[in-house]
Amino acid sequence: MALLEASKSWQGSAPGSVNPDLASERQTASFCVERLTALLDGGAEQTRIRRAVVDAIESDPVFSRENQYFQTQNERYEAAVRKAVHLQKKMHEMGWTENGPEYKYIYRALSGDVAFLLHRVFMRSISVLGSDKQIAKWIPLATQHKLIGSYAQTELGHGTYLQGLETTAVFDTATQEFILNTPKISAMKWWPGDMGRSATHTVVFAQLYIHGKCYGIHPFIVQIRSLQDHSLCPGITAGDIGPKMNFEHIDNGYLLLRNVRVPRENMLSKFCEVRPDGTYVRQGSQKINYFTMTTVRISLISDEVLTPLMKACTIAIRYSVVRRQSKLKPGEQEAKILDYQTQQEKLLPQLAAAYAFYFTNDYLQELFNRGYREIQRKNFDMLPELHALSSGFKAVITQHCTAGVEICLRACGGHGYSLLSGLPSLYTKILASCIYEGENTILLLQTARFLIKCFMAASAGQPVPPSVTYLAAVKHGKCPAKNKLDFLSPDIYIEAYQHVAVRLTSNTAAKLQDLIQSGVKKHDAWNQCTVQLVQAAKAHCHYIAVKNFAETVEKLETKAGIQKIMKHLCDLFALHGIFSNTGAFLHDGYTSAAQMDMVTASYLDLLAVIRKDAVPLVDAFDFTDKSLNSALGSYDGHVYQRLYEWAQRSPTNQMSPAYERYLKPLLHNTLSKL
Amino acid sequence: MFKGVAKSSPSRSSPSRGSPAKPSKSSTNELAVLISRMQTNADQVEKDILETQSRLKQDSSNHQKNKAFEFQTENARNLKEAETLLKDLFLDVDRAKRLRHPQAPEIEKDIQQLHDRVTQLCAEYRALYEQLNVPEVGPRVDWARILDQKMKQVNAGQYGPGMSELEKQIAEHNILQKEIEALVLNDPDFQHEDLNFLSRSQRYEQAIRKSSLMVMKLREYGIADPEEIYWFKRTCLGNYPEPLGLHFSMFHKTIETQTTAAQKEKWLPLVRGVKIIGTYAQTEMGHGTHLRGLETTATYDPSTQEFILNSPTVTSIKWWPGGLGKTSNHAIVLAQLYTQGQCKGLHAFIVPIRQLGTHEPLPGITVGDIGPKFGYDEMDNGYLKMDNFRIPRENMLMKYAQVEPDGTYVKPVSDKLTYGTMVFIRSLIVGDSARSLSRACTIAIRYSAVRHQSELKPGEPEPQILDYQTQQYKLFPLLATAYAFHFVGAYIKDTYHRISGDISTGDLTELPELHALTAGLKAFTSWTANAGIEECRMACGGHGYSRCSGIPDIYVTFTPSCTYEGENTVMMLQTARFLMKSYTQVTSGQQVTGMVSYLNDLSRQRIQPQHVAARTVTVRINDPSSLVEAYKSRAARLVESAAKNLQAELNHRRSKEDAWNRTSVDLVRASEAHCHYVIVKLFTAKLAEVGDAAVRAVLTELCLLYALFGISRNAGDFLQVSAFSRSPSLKAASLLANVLQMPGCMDVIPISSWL
Repeated sequence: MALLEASKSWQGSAPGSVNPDLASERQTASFCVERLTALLDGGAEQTRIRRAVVDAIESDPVFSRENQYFQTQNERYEAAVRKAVHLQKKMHEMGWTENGPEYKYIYRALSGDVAFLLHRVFMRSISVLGSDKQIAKWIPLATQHKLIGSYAQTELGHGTYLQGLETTAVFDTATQEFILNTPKISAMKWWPGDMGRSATHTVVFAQLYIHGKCYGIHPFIVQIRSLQDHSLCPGITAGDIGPKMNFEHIDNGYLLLRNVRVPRENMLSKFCEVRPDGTYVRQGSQKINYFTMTTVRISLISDEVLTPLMKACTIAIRYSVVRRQSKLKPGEQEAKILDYQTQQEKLLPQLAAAYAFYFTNDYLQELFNRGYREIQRKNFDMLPELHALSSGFKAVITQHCTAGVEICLRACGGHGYSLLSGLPSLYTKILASCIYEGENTILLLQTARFLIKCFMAASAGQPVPPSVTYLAAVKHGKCPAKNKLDFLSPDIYIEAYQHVAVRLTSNTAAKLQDLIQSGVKKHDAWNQCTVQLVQAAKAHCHYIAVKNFAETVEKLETKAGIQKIMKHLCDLFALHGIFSNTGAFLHDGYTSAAQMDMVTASYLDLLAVIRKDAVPLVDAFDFTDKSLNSALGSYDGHVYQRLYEWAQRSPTNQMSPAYERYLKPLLHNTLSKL
Repeated sequence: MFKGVAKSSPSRSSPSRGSPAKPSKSSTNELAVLISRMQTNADQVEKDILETQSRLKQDSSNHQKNKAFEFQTENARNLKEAETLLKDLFLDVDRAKRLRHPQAPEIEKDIQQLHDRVTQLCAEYRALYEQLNVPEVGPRVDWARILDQKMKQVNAGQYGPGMSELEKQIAEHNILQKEIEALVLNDPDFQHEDLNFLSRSQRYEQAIRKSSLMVMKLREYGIADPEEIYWFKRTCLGNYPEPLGLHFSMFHKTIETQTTAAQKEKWLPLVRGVKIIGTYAQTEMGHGTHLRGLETTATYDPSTQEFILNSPTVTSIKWWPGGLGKTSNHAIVLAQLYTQGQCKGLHAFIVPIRQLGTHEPLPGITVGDIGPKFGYDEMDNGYLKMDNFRIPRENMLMKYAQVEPDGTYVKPVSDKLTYGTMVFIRSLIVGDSARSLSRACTIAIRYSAVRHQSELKPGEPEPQILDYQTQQYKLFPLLATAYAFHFVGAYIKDTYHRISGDISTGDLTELPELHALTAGLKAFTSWTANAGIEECRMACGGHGYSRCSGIPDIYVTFTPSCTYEGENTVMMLQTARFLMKSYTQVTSGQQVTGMVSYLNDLSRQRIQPQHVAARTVTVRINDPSSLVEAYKSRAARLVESAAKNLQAELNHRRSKEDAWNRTSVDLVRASEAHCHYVIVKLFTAKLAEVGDAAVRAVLTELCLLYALFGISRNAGDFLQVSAFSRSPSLKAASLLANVLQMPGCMDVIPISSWL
């Protein structure tokens, strides 16, 4: 695909030819790029399907992102809506269905630049939280786009802590209606996507009151705009929340409710129901609710978090072999910047992380599928572990990848700062992922709560879930490495990571107990330990990521050089983690200062080894030029021509009244006075 | 509208020569859609033009008859619509060109004509409705009277006995600063409009408006002193860049410092009077920090006594200079000088780029805007391509190097002199790091005091998020960092002024240290502030992501400082080079002075191995000066370790360059440790100068917090120091444990008093 792309390359920049600086990088690949692509896709057949979807979407001019960087917020929104509508047609035309194998590639092919994503969340919340009757009523309407849905949970003053929401729904037995209100400014719904201008309906989360008693947060379907002329319904105030760092194509909105009445049947009632006389009835298990959050957190990792990092790596690494700067040796040509150790040290660990988390995601998916099968059999035992892992990894991966994209951006020097590099948009988009679907610090504390609980249980000899059994097997001792090569052995570094995770968890658990025993109240004690708890949760996730990467490498095919290069990346990922957290490993003397110098030496050696395969490793991600949408990262490496041509298309070059209006009077006024 | 286009289908009339591939079916469809859209848009523009023309005529006659305007709103709306449609048309015609529509060039011509007509109408519109009210120039403020009055007040006061009273009085002496602030804040012309809702073009236009107004007001108010101008501008602009910024800074400064007396006489009045607008064009598309790699050439032609300027390759196009895209009519261009067939390296030339009066690019000059960026929407960063463009010999800046009429090259006294301006700008970035981080901290901490979330104690109301330990851990160290950088910025500014005094009188002995210091500190502070601003934004949760929180704009405006004026990694390596040089001097028995003098201890320590060891063990966790010692040991160790690794590489490898590259990660760490030490040292030294006991107490807390946070973040380095000196690692572990108790020490900081 990427090769095809190059042949229909940008007009005017020597079609078909690849910049020799980039071409030479591809000749020395130590492994088969196509095989690695297939491995990442989960088989050659999947690769074929993905490429077909990408090709169908990219060859359709309606989905073009060509002028995206020049567009205003209004233009971006309009384009996204146009695309969303056109996508329905396209899917029908191509015979793609929501359950077909193509479906999951559509979003990637669109680079997320499409409206009505919340419509799907709207539908999912009805399917999960609604009664059979409600599903039968609403889902067909939504499927046929007779209405456009949104999902209104977050309020101006309240985010992750759901119980704090202030919107109210009071049941009126006389009319069999709920009366919804946002009683003060902080209760206003704020941020929901598709709500600012598009949605006709939304699921509103509100505190339920019956006969003056509060029953907590419940979901209600509320119509907010007329289905005839799209005007706001009585009692509704709604609009767009204005400019953001990114997501210009989405109309994130606000919503004020003033005595808005909805029928009793509009409360989603799979788990709780309000009877006509006002009796409140609970039914079924609410545990499944946690499962929904878990689903969302795991599903966002691939498209929203890994893809941006993989794209950023592709752009930065390709650019770094085209860009030349200063001389490494006197008399020679200026060197490719990727040949500088400092540049390698910025980019290659990000590349290793992209692969590491790609495999972590596979691990989570598998765990999730297993959990889902169990839940269908009404067995909820796996839920706490799934919840802890999905929360912790959502936080760790979003944080790591966001930092990684920023490193890539800054590693491209001045040109990285241009929107035309594609990097600023990748960055501003991915960094929202650190906040949505659960703020990262809070999620890490949830993982920590699970760790502490399991550690206590394990210490008392009780059984604990598989991912945390290591907490029970506390081993004291020292790192056995004797020379720098020992640190290329997974057993050595996995054990070091394990040691750190156990130490941080057990120390914090001990501190917590000490505080409580000395009379500090439980919640105060918890707050006093949170900084360390966050560290423990991170260490736990880091340990699992390293261990999983090593185990994945172990199982890979040995042919085509793939296992070898993946082993190098795994080593780099592990050693980079130690190199950048030396304190944690030196702290109790598990690793000695001399061993730390060995880690550094091995780590720096690896950079030089992986450097040789850097370009093939990003080629294997198989992003088309259109999906990268970057003047710096295209397959053919004609960086400067592209940058020059794109800049000339910028509307800022077409008209500027500023000279006539301001500069001329300034210059002339001055002239007359001189 | 387009002659004959609609009638002939593009695929049929496509000429076969030149275009080998026949358009695919999808591109034919796309073209058809495109052409019909363009047709509609062009017709609408035509309609708008005709309507506006007749309405303008009517309003103009209204004006002559002293009647009220009737159509201003309609005309504005029509012209706005025409502009928007034209933008689409230009984008579409590009697309048509790419799809190889045979008549694309003609269509483009037609659109260009429409554009010219609209521009003409816009000018008429402005002439009729918006006659710019140029204020009568001439000092309006009677400074003499104000100053007199204020001085009397100040003189009447008694000088107090203590430092705090004295500081108060010093503040009172800053009369001008306060008055200038008041002038701006009360001036309706400088009201802050909400930039968040403006497009990039609008933000540029607003910035130009402000810039022009500022120049006029400076004149009006009679403000001329550089310090006063600085205050005036800070107050007008807030944190945003201005398109004329490079005119007043780099362009002005370079002409002031690098020209001969004759050149000064010619150019300075033009620059100061804004008779010309200039920028500084150094960076090229393919070349940034490595100046020697620049490709632009200036070849001397003795027959006409001119330099011929050329941009020989795509990579040599000047790219990024601020104010170049649309604002400037002159530029200082850095180019490789060729004379008598030899390359003499980089030199600076004054190059006119646009026609005075029409603002059209001069023949041989291609100039434009480089398009959308992460931030800096106000700034028209531009590109510049020169084809055999000739300038007179006198346009080369000749204070140092010279080219005589016959082409003879006269060498400058010292090569380093031209770097002076860069050093100055880098020193400003350090101050900017402090300011930008302070802004972000102010927003994040105030918001954290207002935002309530979750529950700390069951049953109680949601607490302020600032009460969460994790939130404090995010924000308070950054607050301390902002203060640390503030003092570093002040220190560098003073040092620069002291040393640059020496440069013009010819004493260059301190230049290497100044260079090493500004390079490393520029990198260290901008990296830290960059990450810190992001941390502040994330600490504000979802609302931090909204542009209305203010932090995204602080971030995007600040973040390029990690790259411009010297890419940070390269800066760190420059500092490292100086550190390695100093280390070599010490090992060869010489003493070094200044901030690196701790390296002298390394040789002493070799004679008395216990020396450093003893000191590490006695680190007192609550004493800043003791922590300075810890930072010193860490810096010394990392410098030494990098030097030894470098030596080991040299022993194994062939070339110096290769060894340097293979050690560069170690070298950057050494530089970072050195800078970190300098900052902690300067912050600690500042404490003694503070008179007010309460202020000193709170600053001491912040200083401790800054130092301890650095230790916890780099625990490995500090642990290795103690291992290095063979002290039991237990001691180090307990030291670290104390550091991690820090959150307790944070509670004592009375944050509110610092907002």
